[in-house]
Amino acid sequence: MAKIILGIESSCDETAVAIVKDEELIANVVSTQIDVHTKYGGVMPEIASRLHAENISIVLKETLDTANIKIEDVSAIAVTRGPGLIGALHVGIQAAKTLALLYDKPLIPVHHLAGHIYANEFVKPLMFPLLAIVVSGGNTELVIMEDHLHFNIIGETKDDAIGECYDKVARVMGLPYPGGIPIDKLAKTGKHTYKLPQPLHDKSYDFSYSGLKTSIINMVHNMEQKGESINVPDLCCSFQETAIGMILEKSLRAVKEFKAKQVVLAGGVSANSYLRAQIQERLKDTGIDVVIPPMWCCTDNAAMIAKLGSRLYDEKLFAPLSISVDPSWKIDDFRNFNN
Amino acid sequence: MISILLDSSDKFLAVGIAKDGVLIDSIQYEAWQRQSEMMITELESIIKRNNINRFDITNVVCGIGPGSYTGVRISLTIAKVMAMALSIPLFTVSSLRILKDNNNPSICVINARSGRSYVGVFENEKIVLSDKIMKNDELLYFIKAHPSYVVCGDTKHLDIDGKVSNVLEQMTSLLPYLKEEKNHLGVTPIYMKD
Repeated sequence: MAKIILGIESSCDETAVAIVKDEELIANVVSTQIDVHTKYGGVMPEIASRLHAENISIVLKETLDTANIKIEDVSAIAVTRGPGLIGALHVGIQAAKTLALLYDKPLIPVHHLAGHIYANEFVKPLMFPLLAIVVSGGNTELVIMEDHLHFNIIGETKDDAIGECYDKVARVMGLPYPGGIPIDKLAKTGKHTYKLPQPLHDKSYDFSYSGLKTSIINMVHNMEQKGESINVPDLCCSFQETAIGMILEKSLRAVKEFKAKQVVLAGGVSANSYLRAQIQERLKDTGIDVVIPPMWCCTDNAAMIAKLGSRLYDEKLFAPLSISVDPSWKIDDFRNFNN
Repeated sequence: MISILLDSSDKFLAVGIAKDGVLIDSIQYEAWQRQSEMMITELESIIKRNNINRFDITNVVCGIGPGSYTGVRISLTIAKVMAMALSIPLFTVSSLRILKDNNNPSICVINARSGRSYVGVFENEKIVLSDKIMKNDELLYFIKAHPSYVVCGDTKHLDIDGKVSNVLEQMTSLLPYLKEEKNHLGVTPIYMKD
């Protein structure tokens, strides 16, 4: 009998459902809210929750229709339990629990960031030890995996996530939300001329982005007061090389220390062209494999939830119907879904 | 005809089963901020103890707000997914309307926080005043001006006693008067606030 996993994702601003059949992705529907949140310059949690509630059954139906699969035929329901926005997560988890109850299917709670890491399995099998560079609007962490489903966080941000920092720096330069895309684009036409601080430039694997953000905001305001104009492409380039530079430097050190055989990128900021190019360039001819997720995997989706759900199905990591969401679920605690 | 009844638009959680227009079983209790965990498990226990499986369910009836945003979304998400998955009709009802008293004209109230209340006025199956949001002092004045009306709902925030009705009984008796959500896929809660 085929193993068919239906995955549901609603942790931030995409309502998504996907179906993986015997490890192959057969339907992947994403309803993005990005245009709505762009108006506000960031994700508004209550608006995100409202749109999830509005769209969830539409996206579910479209996925089932596309895959030509009946819920009866599904082996299990996988759903993002966290981390993410609490009200947004609630919608996905209720939908998943409803299907699991009505059709008597196992319910598999999936860690969102673990999902992003396992999205790389759509490219090739994972090899261990593995370093996962998890970079998004809500998270910045380095994760070492000695084997499948063994997540060890060796470092993480002490304050802002890198993606959040991009958004705020973009805003002060008058660039649109989300900030990653315009900064990445303009950085290519600029030069690294601004000297910026490198917070937490130390031996740890931790990150800090709030100081970098504040120094840029202050610099731009000071220059504006003096009537000087900033060179936006140069500032974009300087910021990008500094912000991503910290990730690169600590990642390369971690690769050596933990003797990683493979490096994977995960999360929204893994769409960044400088990060993608530099990590490949700097690990060229080292024998270390670098996996770059396809662009559609960088943004939130349910394909990765169904993909990881498929592995967790083999492990029989099933949850009771009494589970709820966990907005701050840690990746190394992914087997624990007690409320 | 088996109807599944759901409401979690305020502090309470209510799950019921109506058979041919009669409420045959119900679970109701205060579950403030625990509805996410409890709603589905209570639905599970009520359908199991009544030996109901998914093929038996004819329709689903759900409170659509106004009330707690997260609370309304929990029930309505369950109801929408049920309607989609089982291809059955979804009926929605104002969460104020199901607070009404059986025999008297009722001013139904839900705390909207920040000094305001959601208010609707109902008499039997008639809607006398459609759901709206009022400042609490205006509402108290309104209540005083209508002494023959019974105040229903949790009105502790107004420092007056409200009559607590059985929302599932009200849902069952209102069922013939409710409108089916023809486009149930896109149904959204009634929030009344941006």
